[in-house]
Amino acid sequence: MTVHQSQSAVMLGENGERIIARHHRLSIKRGIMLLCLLTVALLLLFTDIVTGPSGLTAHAVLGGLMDPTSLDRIDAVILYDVRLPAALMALLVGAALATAGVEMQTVLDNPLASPFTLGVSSAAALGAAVAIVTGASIPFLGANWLVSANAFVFAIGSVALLQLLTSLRGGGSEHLVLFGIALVFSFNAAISLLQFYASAQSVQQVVFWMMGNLQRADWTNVSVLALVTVVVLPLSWLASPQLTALHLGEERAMSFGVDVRRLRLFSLIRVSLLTATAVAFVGTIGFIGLVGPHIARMIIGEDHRFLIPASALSGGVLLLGASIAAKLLVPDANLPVGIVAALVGVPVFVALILRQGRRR
Amino acid sequence: MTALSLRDVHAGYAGKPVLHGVSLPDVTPGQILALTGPNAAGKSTVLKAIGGFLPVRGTIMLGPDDITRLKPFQRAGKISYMPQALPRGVGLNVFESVLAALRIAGKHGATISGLSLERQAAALIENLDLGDIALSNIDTLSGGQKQMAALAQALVGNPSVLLLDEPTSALDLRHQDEFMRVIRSVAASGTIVVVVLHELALAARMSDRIAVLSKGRIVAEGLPVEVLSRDILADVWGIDAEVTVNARGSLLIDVLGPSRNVIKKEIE
Repeated sequence: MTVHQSQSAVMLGENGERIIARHHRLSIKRGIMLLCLLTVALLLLFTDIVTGPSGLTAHAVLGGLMDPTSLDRIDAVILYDVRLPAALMALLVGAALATAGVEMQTVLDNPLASPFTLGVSSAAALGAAVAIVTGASIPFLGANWLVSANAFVFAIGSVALLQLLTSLRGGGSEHLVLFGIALVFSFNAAISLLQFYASAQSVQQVVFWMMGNLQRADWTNVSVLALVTVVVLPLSWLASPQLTALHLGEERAMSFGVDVRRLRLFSLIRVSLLTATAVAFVGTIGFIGLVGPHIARMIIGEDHRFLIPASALSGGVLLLGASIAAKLLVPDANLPVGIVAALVGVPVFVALILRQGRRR
Repeated sequence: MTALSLRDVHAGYAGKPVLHGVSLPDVTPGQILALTGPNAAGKSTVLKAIGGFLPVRGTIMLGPDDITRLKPFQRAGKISYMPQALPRGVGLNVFESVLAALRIAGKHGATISGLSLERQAAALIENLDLGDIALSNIDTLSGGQKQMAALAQALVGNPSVLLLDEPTSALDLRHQDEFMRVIRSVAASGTIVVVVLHELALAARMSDRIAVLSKGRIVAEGLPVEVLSRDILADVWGIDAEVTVNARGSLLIDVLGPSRNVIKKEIE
């Protein structure tokens, strides 16, 4: 047996050709799975736009999307200013959180990690609470923007703080998780403290903000999140070979030639951008970032070149599903989607754990 | 010739020194050096020092280059480190895992240019006779097959040095033997192999040289039959054992019980 490879040794036998052919078939199958997921996401996007209290029919929506002038004024406002931004927001937030989740799970080597594990969402909530309770406002920007901007600044700041703390201890993933959890508790305590001293009205606003609601979507914040997602998602995808290698073990990945510290740092920056932007606009929406990647994993496996887009699509599908469910379950209540996402997410999550337990 | 040598290497973990001046004479291409010694002697630490995972004081030469200044990812293609076991829940098949390693190695110029990574992965898998399990999920493989999959990943980029950390510790006798025979053939093609082994008989049979570590120092180094003496077994492992060489030249170690100094210590 000769193990050294050289040009002459790479005359593949029949077996080798067969392996490559079967690998190609597997790749094509995964590509088709991705297309199916995309189709489901688009169908749910349309269903979400159609679902709602006013009597806007699917036919009218289709007509209105093709030709806005076919709708009367009220229907046009409902479609273009309410339903469409909210539905796009659901897709984008789901995609952003699930992509952040899959990166987090790989980088921390922990299947229970999510974009919220390290305190990003708690920090965002604290930022929003500070803005709501103090009632300050940024010149030329509305009060809503201050809440979002503050949430974003706090979320990014918490990741910077976390990176600083972890680098003091050598940058290992276990310290990252421990410091992250410490930050979650600190931020939550700070939110409670604020609520304790705040007026009843502010407390109500803070609580409502934290529930996670797509009704805050408008074209401006949808565009901002779309921009962030369109820039960051391809960067995540470009890191997929390194992430797949890291999944085989940290030292093994280093030995292949992955600069793990750098990968972890840039991954955290991507995660914080995606999460902070999403949370700043819609509040805390749990479980998408945890469950989305796991569903994608079950469909498509661990090759991150497929897993990352599949996670993004699964996240979008889940949040669109939650949004539709929220509107159908309690038609007139405008139920915050964050509540429904968690209610749907918990049983899915428990089922996943049970399934995993049986497999081992 | 590109030989590997260590001179006065000190290394350890966050404020806890483990190696206190380890030196090893040239290990040449084609040779297998087995590192052995009792638990906590620093065997794995030597591998991690060579692999670049730890800050090191001293020199580690590979040919004319002192490699202590390179980060682990800069050693890709030259030095390959295979940890004890693959993680659980890998979720990739053997071919994909080798391809994943090749994609990274390709970025460092450690692959064959002008040949698709898929063909290189398939060739590597064929050479190791892993065709039957190439498209099986690693999680479903037996212990021996998992180690072969890990070996295929480690051989990506055709490294000059292969570091193996207790590769046989979870394998039964037959698979220990099979795995080490493959390692022999890897070495025979011109690779320097440094392997941590607990099984002394296996180390004696499969390696060209043995280095015995104790408390972070090399206490003996040389041919297996020279190194594994009754005195060394008593001093380092604390066992009294009869060491004989049979007619085929194999080393037989018959453990009789704890060594005298261990018994003396217990009495005191």
